[in-house]
Amino acid sequence: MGTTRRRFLTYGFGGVALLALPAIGLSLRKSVLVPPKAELLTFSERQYSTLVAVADTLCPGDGDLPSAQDVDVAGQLDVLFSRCHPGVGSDIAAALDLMENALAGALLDQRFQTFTACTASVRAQVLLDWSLSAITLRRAVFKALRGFVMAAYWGSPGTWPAIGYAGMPDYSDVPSPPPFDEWIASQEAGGGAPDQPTAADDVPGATP
Amino acid sequence: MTGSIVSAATFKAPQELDCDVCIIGSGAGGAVLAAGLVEQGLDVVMLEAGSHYTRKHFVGNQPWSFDHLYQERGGRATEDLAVTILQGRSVGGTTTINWTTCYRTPDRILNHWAEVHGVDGIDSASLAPHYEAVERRLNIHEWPLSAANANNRIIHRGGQALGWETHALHRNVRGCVNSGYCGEGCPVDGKQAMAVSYLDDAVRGGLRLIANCEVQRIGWTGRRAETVHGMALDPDSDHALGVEVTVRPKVLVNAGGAINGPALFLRSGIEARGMMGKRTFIHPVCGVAGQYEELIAPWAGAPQSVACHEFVDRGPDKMGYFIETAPLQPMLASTVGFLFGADHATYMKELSHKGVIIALGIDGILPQDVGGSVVIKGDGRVWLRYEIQPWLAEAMRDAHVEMARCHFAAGATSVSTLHADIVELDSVDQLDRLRTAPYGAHQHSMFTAHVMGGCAMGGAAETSVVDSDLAMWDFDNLFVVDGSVFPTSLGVNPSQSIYGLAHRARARVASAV
Repeated sequence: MGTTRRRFLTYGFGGVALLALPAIGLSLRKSVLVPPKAELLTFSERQYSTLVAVADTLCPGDGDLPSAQDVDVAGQLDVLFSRCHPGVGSDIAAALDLMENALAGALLDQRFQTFTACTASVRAQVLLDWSLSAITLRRAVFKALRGFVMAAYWGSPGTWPAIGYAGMPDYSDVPSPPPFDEWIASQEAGGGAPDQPTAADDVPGATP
Repeated sequence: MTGSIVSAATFKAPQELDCDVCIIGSGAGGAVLAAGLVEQGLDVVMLEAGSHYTRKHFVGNQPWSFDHLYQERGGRATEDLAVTILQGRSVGGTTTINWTTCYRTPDRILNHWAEVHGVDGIDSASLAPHYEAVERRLNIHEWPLSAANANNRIIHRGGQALGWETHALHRNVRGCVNSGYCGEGCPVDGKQAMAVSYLDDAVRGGLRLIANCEVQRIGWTGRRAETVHGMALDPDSDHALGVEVTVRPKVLVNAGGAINGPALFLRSGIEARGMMGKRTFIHPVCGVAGQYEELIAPWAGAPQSVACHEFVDRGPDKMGYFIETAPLQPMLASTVGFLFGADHATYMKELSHKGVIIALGIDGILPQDVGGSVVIKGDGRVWLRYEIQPWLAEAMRDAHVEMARCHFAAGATSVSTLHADIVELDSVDQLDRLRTAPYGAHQHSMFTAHVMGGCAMGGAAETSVVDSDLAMWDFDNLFVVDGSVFPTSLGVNPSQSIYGLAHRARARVASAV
């Protein structure tokens, strides 16, 4: 088969590093580090900071919505990946390294700074370029990063009020259905009420 | 005799167990089979990699649900990351998190299996008593249109306006409160998932179910499976705890589901003459969203209650597809598509007035469609290699046009796709923009919740992995009882097809002991 995602991240990054030799200054551009809110379990501080920048670009927040940093998306994902197969975390880490690298950025995105050092508008343009790239694997990496970030962000209750979502109602007082043997005996004897769906008031469309 | 559900994480020392039948996996296949085997007085041990959760855990916490109830913590995907794969991983398997839609296997599929794959003795008449039994136990019945949520009514309303066939779905529920949270574990035990139905029966009949026990390898000699080698996992991290569980059964059943089941065989050197893991099908899904004046709240109410089979048969050279909808809790809704930043925030703020239609491709029917294959990488990770073929791209193009037509017929004010370069339509006159849009890997979001095949059933050892009784051709005491035995996809949601086949397999497996 053709180039795999893993090979792209490993060798592609290696190739980029080779190209970096005559442009060592570019490849050593400084990252803007963000101190983590807890001990990191998966990422280096540089990778974590890149993830913070990616997440804040994807989910910057507005007057109604918190930012990705507000709900600690990067911290949530650092914990999540620590509980996955180690290969998952290392794949994501490689993607973040590639995203952050200034030389890779110059070659792929025409930007000459590390991702964390870019302005918000440049970061947004970089991610847009990745999402629409003619290189399928760049779109794949974007899609993966976006999916994890969005899940962590919109899974956070702090984002829900702005979109009119109240979360799942509390069903703790709703009794479980009776044991099957008891229920079916009642049904087959004709003595039980048929199982009717409950058309909850908060289900648009459903009628009692 | 009452059995038990224990976590392997509680074992302080290696365990060695003998039994009549060992079943790997506690989902739709394993659970139905186990209940029947203990009923016949057999000593059954079941090993499940996931944890045992109950309704008290299911409180609508989406991150927790995906983290604990789904394969790879919700992050499973095809090898090229083009298709997100939703598969369950807990006691009860995918039935813990599926959306409850139940169908008997369609006649056209059973006929195709007989004619093309040589499947013998499996037709609607022979399956009927098995379906009747599971329909009774799981209370599978039609969910009336009066209880359908607004999201599902879009298909009904739009389909009716266009003259399409639409129908109400059957669901395995009893005491359902129409919450809409089936995908996160039922909060009231209304869904008759395996953990509250057949596994409950089986444990009361003597089943020994060991959770948090991942089977790493099957030991075998000649035509006999001899040992099952499991490892205790930490329930929270899934990291191996170093405590081994070894089972020596008279008969072994792999019910680990598509992808994981074939992967276990491959790890064990059981390759079925090169066919193991091949012919894996996924009902690849694409979707189109519609914007409505009225409140839709696509997260509320039974996730699926209406479907349309108008496009199941599109002619001899085209892939068919069927139409349903999907629940849109914010977390799941946000992960599809490619939007971000302010555009995505606006999209999400409109979510309560969005409805979604999905189309599921019926893969494996066209002669040239061999589906995907399960592969194991050097680091031990399991992947599904599945390429988006031209006939699938063509079907998705057609499906996008028809789904958009349905939205507009149902009253949508605008329609948008999940493309990387999003396509937005304001009227039905703009459908040509969908016909010229790109379709394929990473051009738009795709996902699946129906993984099937990989241990294909068939009429000859040369062309299949198991026979029509689900027995491995190369073994005398090894069966596969789950969705991996389907030689093609089904064209309908697969859970009841698995229940039915597992119910049918009870007698054959018991006779092998």
